[in-house]
Amino acid sequence: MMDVAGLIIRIVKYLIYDLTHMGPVFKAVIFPGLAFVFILAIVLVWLERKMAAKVQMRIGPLYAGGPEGILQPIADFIKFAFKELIIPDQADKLLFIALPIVSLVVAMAPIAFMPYSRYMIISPNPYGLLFAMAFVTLFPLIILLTGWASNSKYAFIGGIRAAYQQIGYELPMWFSALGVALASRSFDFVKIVESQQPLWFALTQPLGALAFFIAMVAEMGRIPFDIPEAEQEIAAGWFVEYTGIMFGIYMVSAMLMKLYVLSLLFTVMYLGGWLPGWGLPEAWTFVKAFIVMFLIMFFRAVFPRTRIKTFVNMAWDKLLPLSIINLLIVFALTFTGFYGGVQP
Amino acid sequence: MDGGVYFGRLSRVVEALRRFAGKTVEFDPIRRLVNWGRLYSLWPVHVTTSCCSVALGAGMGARFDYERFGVLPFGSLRQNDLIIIEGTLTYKFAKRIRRIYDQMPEPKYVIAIGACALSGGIFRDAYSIVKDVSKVVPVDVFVPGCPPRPEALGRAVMLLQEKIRRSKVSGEPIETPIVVR
Amino acid sequence: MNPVKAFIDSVKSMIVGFKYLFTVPRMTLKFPEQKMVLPPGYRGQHYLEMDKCTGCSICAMSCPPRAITMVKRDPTPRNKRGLFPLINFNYCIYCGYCVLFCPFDALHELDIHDLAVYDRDKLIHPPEFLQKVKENPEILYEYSGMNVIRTPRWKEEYAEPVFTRRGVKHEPIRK
Repeated sequence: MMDVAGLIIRIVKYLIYDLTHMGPVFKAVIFPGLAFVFILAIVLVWLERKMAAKVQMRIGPLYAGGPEGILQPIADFIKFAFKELIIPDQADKLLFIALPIVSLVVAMAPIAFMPYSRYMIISPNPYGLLFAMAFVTLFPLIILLTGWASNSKYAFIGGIRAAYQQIGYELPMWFSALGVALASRSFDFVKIVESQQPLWFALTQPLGALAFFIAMVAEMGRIPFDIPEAEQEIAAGWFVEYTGIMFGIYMVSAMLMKLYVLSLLFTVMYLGGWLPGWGLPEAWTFVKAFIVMFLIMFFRAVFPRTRIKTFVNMAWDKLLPLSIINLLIVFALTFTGFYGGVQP
Repeated sequence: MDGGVYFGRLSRVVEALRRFAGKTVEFDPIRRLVNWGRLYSLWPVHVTTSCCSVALGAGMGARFDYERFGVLPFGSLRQNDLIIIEGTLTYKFAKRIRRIYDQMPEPKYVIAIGACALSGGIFRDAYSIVKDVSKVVPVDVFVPGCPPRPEALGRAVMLLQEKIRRSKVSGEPIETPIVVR
Repeated sequence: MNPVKAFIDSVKSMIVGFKYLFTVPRMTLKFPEQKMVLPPGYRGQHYLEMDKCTGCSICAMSCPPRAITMVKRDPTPRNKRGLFPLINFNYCIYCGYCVLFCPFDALHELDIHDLAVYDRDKLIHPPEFLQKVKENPEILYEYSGMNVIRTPRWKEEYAEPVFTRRGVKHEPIRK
């Protein structure tokens, strides 16, 4: 018994030390990790609705509680948590129940590799870029599986659309990321940020940044590229059969976590992360990522939806050449020593 | 969902747990929290039966903006909890309304607006009009008018919120004294 | 489509969006607290002056949805048959014909237009109730069960006239 008590005391002591000294538990649970992300998610939902309302000269959520109705997302979430769960008779039940949780895991996994500053990484990894991009790429597969598992026409069309759309944006995205990796000669996010010391990659590789940005918005499934959802065409697309808390989880994972993760990825890869590093480096990263998120949420208030054919044509005709040209330029510039470091 | 299908032998335990949870949820702070979430997040489904939808359009537009109450029109019915029946309901469309109502998850609410939805209105002699919407779906709040003004729609939303505030989590109404402030 | 032109168009639309986001004021009326000023002669809920009514039934005859039924009450010297209008607001389309055709100016309309009820029977207004509405219009809200709402109308402040705000402008007809 004494051993167990001693063990508990040691664990508690470690936890206190960890939380006060920003150890791995603090990182995973509080700051770049769960608590921070969920609070940010609430603020983002509220901000998105409020901003769309302001552009349309409306007020938006107001009476739910808090200043300017900031508790509205919590009210929505509580409503979904206490709503009836409907599982369609023809659905693949195991997949149908498991997929929201898998999607949340896949959407949140890249947060582990994203640096907020040189030391504020949950899991420092020399191949962080590859890991993050791999998880990001996995999400359309979950959409496709969701469409298949719910066994509804609209959901299946949505899943097929997601897969079809991925054919368009996946190559430009990876080629642009390859440009970054080539310029910084590393897949490590910390080295990627450090090698943007004089000039951000958004300035030295504008073509790649543009291609990555457009592909990124498509990957998030946001307006103008929310083709897998497409409310007006295919009801609500791939999540049409999900009710209650399962839809709530999908809303968090697919609409918010992807937005957050990809904006942070864009910030780290192209906007120089925490540079210039004076002051509080985490604040620099956060402010930049928040501006990117704000911009992408602002698209919702302004743009219509593109057709899927238009988007895939644009991706293959414009984005892919753009990213390949960018890669060639970066390749040529590395020989001149423009990006610093050792010559290849 | 039916516990027996998904949990096999454990279904009796699951049933007991569900009953326990159902009773726990009715206690006052939790009940109030759940009702708060429900009443400030009424998402109406996009279904337009007739011309009174202009009142809905005006209500969701910039002038009256019932998104202040948390009313967010949403495209798909599995996530929604409010049907607003706008005006004339034909027998042909009544089947669709009933199907939409059945497909929505509990708890779900219905607001009927316009004279035609309440009684057939000026078309009550027509062969194809449903004279009483509450025979198709159970209606919570009625709004008279042809069409009603957006203010009346707002009153209907507020009445529905009050109804939710005075009900249990399971949906049964509870009697509380009316306080006029 | 020319990609450069498409890009410029997108940027233009975003500039318009930002203009609305930061400079244009909101035009929303906070309805339960504020109230829209309606034009004069708005056709809302009815009231009846029973001492003027003669029971001629012209209102019931002129009513397009036949919402008005003549009901028997105690006869008065003016109304010897004792017929008075009962208005069923389930049917009423607020066209105003009954008010227009009433030869003795017994029926009138208020500007109250925001009724909503739990129970449709509360929308059937007998003549005695229509008489009471004249003295105290707020009785409509109590009768239809709307006093459960926390911000009753009679404690609201009127909003500034909305047409002077940005967004909706009345342009005078050019001569």
